[in-house]
Amino acid sequence: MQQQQFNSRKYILVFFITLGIFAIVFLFSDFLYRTRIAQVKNIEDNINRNILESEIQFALLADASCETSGSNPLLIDEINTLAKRLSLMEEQRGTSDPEVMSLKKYYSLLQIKDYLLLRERAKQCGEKPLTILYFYSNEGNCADCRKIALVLSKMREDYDNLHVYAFDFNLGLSVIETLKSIYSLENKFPVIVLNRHPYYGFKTREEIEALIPDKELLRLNATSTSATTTKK
Amino acid sequence: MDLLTQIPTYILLFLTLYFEVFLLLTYFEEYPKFTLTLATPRDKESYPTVTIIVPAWNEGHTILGTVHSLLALDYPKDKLAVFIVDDGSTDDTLAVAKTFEGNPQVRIFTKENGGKHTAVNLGIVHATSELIGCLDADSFVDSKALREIIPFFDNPEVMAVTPSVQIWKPDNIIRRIQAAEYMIGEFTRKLFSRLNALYVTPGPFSIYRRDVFKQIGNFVKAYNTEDMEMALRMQANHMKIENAHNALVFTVSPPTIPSLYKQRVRWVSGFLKNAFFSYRFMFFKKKYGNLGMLTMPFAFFSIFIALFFCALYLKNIFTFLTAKYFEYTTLGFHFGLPLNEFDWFAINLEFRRLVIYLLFFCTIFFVVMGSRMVLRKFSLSRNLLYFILFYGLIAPLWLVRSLYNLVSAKDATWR
Repeated sequence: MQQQQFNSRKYILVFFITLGIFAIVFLFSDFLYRTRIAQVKNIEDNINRNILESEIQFALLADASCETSGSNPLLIDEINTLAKRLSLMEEQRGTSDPEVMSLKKYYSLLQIKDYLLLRERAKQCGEKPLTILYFYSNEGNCADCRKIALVLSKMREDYDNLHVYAFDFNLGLSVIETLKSIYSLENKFPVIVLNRHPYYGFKTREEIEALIPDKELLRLNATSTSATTTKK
Repeated sequence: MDLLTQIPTYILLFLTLYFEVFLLLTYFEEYPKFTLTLATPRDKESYPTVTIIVPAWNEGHTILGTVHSLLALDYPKDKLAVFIVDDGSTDDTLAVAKTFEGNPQVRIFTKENGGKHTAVNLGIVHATSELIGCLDADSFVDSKALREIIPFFDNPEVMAVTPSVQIWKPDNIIRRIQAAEYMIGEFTRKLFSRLNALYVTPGPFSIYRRDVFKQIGNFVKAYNTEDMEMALRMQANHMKIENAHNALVFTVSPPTIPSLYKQRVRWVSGFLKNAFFSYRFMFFKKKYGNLGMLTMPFAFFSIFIALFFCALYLKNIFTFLTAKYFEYTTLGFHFGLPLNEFDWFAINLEFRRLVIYLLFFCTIFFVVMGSRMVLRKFSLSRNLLYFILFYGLIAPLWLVRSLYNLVSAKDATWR
């Protein structure tokens, strides 16, 4: 039973096979990455189209559009999915990935657009939507940011009519700078803005709920209960 | 991940993948040699004479089974001698050994404690057979083991043959982890033998031609890994070592983490020291074939590669547990996402991860192939699950300590 002796050709062959596998895996990984980017872009386009539709509908019908529901549940679902997916992509590819950062910037702009539309509608229709603006920083190790993000995500899941808009403080977007100056925000994280008032540091769900006026909290609870009942 | 860790990660991934591709290619080239067909019985006269030395130091509780398994070998009685060498035991090893007095196949020796290599050497001095083997007193042989080994010696160039060493009755998690590890070990040992690149002739039942000791001398202490040193010395002298994968030998493995740690520190430290201090000259030398060019350098550097990947694994577990802790302290106990809400974005499909998944599947393939060779069936048992989940958590313990021993020139003890 002859054993194999040193054969330089086999070493070279294995080198090229390994290189080939590396290349295939790299291309496959790139393909999956592009697919994910395309899916995220698609969601962003959908959101943009939805917002645009709402804007046009609102402009066309003026006050009459107040009769339709204030928030589009499909849009909220899409924004939530987008937020989760972007957060996962950022976690996996790091904050230095230009494509992910670009998608995140666009997402931030869409959030602001949705926020403005909501405010405009509230003004015209006399509604009082409950919105929380949440600012965080990915620079440094902001454990409280991660904790409050969990609380807000859970609240967003539980309350259909709660609008949470999350912004990365260090994204370098001028509109975020404008928001910072509107609410006179300091460089302390995390910070949430509720009813135009900033609250710094980690807040538990109970603490956040305590900041919401009783009437609005009752409304939130009522809508979430009815939504749950309807879903059943 | 910054550039400082990115570049070494790519290099280590490439090297590991290169090694695995090399082994897989060898497997496909040498596929017929992995047959499970047992050796055909031969004429009684054609079996060579064999002496099996059982060095024992405080092995009173296992030596009885060891010797009984040797006496039960399916081999001509007049051609098989068993030498029990009591290495100054302080327990009842000698008394148990003496129960075999009067058996014409067994000879009993006793001496002052001097280490395993001295006990084996005493046996070698008294042996007159053509072949000499060794069986640790905590191991047992399958009755067909020796008959499976002998045909390899038909090739006059083969100077030693190693068996397939497996775990005796893996009855707890630590032993089950080792059982899966030994299966990978057997598959790779067979592959290394096909490459003429074995660097260990395991204590349990490796068989040598007597000429080996005449030509290159007896066992030496070699940082308490005399079996490793003997294989390296043989390879340095261009003596062929084969592997008889159908010759099954079972060893009683450490049942606890501390005892496993002690054993592995001895093995890994011994390998590192033998390779680095005594046989470094073989590294990347074509004249030492695949051993010098591939298996020995990779085995040496794999310690660092394993440590690197263990660190990554631990980091991932730490990140996962921290995230869960945050969730728990923030939201209290709650169940994760239901399966139907699972999002494929949650799976990290980044390039390095994909390569790691690929290497992971290679490892599973190695265990499955090892199980085929040992159990004679493809098996995905819970041993594999325990191995996958926990090996990366416990291996760094002995790897770090062994590296410390290498740098500080400290010796690892037997027990």
